[in-house]
Amino acid sequence: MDAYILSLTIFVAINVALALSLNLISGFCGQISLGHAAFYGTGAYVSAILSVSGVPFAVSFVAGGIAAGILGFLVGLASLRVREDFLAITTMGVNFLFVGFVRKQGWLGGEIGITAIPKPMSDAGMATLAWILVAATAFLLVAIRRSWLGTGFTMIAQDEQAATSLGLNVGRFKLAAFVMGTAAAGMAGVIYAHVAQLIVPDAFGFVVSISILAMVVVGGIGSIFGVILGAVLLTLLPELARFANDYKLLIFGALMVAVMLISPGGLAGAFQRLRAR
Amino acid sequence: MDLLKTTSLSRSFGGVAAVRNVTLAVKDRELLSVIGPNGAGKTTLLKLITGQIPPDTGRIELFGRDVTAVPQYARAQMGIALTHQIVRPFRGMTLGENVTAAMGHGHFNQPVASLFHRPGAADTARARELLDLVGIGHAAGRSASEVPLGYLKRMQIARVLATDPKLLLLDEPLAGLNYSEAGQIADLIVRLNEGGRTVVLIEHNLGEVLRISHRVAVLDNGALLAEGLPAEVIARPDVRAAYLGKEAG
Ligand SMILES: Nc1ncnc2c1ncn2[C@@H]1O[C@H](COP(=O)(O)OP(=O)(O)OP(=O)(O)O)[C@@H](O)[C@H]1O
Ligand SMILES: [Mg+2]
Repeated sequence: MDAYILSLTIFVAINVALALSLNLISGFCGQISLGHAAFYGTGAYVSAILSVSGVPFAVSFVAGGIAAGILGFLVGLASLRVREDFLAITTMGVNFLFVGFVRKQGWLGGEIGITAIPKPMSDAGMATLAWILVAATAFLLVAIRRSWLGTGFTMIAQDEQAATSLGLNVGRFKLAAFVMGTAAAGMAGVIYAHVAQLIVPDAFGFVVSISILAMVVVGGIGSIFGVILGAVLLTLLPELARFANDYKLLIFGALMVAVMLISPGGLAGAFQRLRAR
Repeated sequence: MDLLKTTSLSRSFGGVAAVRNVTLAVKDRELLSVIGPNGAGKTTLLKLITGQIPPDTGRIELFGRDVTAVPQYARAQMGIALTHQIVRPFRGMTLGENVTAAMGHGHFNQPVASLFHRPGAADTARARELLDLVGIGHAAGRSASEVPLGYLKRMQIARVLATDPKLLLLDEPLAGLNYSEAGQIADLIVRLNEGGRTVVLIEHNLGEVLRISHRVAVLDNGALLAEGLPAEVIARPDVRAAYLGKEAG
């Protein structure tokens, strides 16, 4: 396969995994997050530091996921303490904190980032790993959807107080959503770091969080198939059309507004309506 | 044995004392109604009992245990259930799905373990039975966001029954129902009570309250004004003045 195509499939897979993991937190459990890139970045930085200092990739991979999950747990704890509408601001703040912190850390490379991250395997191997992560995340979401865990998430998303009054431990369920979703994002970050072999703070900024959110919204919040489609489309779009790359934010923003106005269920909702006709 | 006991319970909102110094005991298998004019503090009292809001002062005991510091979900898991005065359906679900969701109550404390169990045909069937019990089984497939209020009121009863509670707190369950529907649900409340569930009922429908209650407590301005046998309580001049006076005014 063409090297460009191969690297493109890896980045598509990374974005699909990111969008699916955000869908778990925001779509399934209804907890808005505007800072998903912070967890993506945590996985990338932690694994990069480890790999650069000679730790085997498998260990870096797991450590990146766990570190992101731990940060997710802490942000989840904070989310239990803030009012629902403040969660957006809190998670956004976490993203800015992450980038601001990393930029000022000499040992993390500061503005220049971490370079010469060793590549653990061929590009084809990394692509396979990326798509395995996608498959595992999608499988997890399908399993959640069918289980009582998914029922609990839906209850929280639709009426937290009703859920609590029926005996649902809303706090624990939310934390579960945060930990699983952020750990998966961290693993996506590990793959990104070891494919790009170089990471800088801005690769995990607020704009990236919003791009991931756009994939979820355009695909259809809460839908597994729709979000995969949304992530694939929004990753390829800027690659296919040069102008789309220049105006990426403008286009993503316009798409989100359009979806909210025309089909709040996103692509998944539109497909469903077409089928129903 | 007292199943539920509040001791000197008080709660205010800003300057408004919604519940003042309420000491009230509910015996096992009792059907107690709490009545009082609008704004008397009835709903606030239930919210204090379920743990949705904390009291400023006072104590709550459930099943002989002090639960004042126990969080709301844990009290629900102990076997108390509330139907909300202002209905709280899961609006993205059908009525059937609302009730089926509550069938998972045994899994609601352990998210990780709950991933390995799923709602099954037995849960759906039981949910349907419960909807039949409250008279809306035929509407099981209808969306909770498009049925009339009376359906949601009854769905809420079916939904809490799915958690098999020992103590039922019903906040105006007959509101939004017509005369015959109200009579049917009142009869159902009696049957549930006779089946072993303790009931605290808040209702403005005094006819049904007098017909089915073992005992009545009257709240006025947040304070307990009277409690006793329904006919005796309702005959008291101070109760009539508080209740009817405000209802009329
Ligand atoms: N969250 C709140 N914030 C401020 N005031 C409140 C709040 N909840 C209740 N109140 C006030 O407390 C008082 C008691 O309200 P509550 O809802 O308990 O009355 P109620 O007896 O249930 O009335 P109704 O019969 O109309 O349902 C009212 O004056 C109400 O305005
Ligand atoms: Mg009330």
